[in-house]
Amino acid sequence: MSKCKAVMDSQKITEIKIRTKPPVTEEKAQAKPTDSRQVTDSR
Amino acid sequence: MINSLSELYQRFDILYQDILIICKTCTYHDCEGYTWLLPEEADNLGSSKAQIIEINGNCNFINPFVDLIPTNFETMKPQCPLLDNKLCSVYNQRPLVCRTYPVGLTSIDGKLFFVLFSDCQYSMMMSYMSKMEFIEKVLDILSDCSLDLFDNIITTYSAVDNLFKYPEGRNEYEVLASCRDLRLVISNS
Repeated sequence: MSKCKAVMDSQKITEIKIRTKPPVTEEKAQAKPTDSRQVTDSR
Repeated sequence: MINSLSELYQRFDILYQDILIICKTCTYHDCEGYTWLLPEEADNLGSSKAQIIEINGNCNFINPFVDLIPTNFETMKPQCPLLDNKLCSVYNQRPLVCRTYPVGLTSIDGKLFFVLFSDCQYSMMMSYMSKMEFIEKVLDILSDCSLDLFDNIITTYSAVDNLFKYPEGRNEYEVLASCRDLRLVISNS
């Protein structure tokens, strides 16, 4: 990607959101050891 | 047929292998401007160190203004914040727009075209014959895309293009093919 001369037309901007990383929930965090154990067992 | 974005990345990466040697000697400024993203890329890069901004609910960009407040989206050629010591810090995840440069999309009189930008050492150095060969290979890749993938790219860029303006004029380019014509080729294949 190089030096594109385009800029955004601020008059056309109606909404700006900063996308945040999906939060790691406690449930997902707890799921990891179970998942890895399953992988280990299957080997 | 190319059905997924990762397959498309792979095809362009293979075609561009030889360009990397020339990129190392390029003296043009690099990685400037507003880097637009396909929805899938915004999701993937959003979980990396890149900060993604979503404009008007349907246009995603790498936020070039991480350290700048207030943000002025009319700032010319902001440097990509993911450039680290002149190298891309998300190289393996870099978006399509970065992978295909100097090939890119632009609108002319409201219609979208794939073009070859001229402000690139590779573009400038190619002989007529090698340029024709390169263009043919690019068009082969694009026309090998599935209709869904092609439409995803065009629809996304169309929304981005509507947001853009060019106060200092456009970059120089030569037209490779209209998106409409390419879409017809894909539809008929």
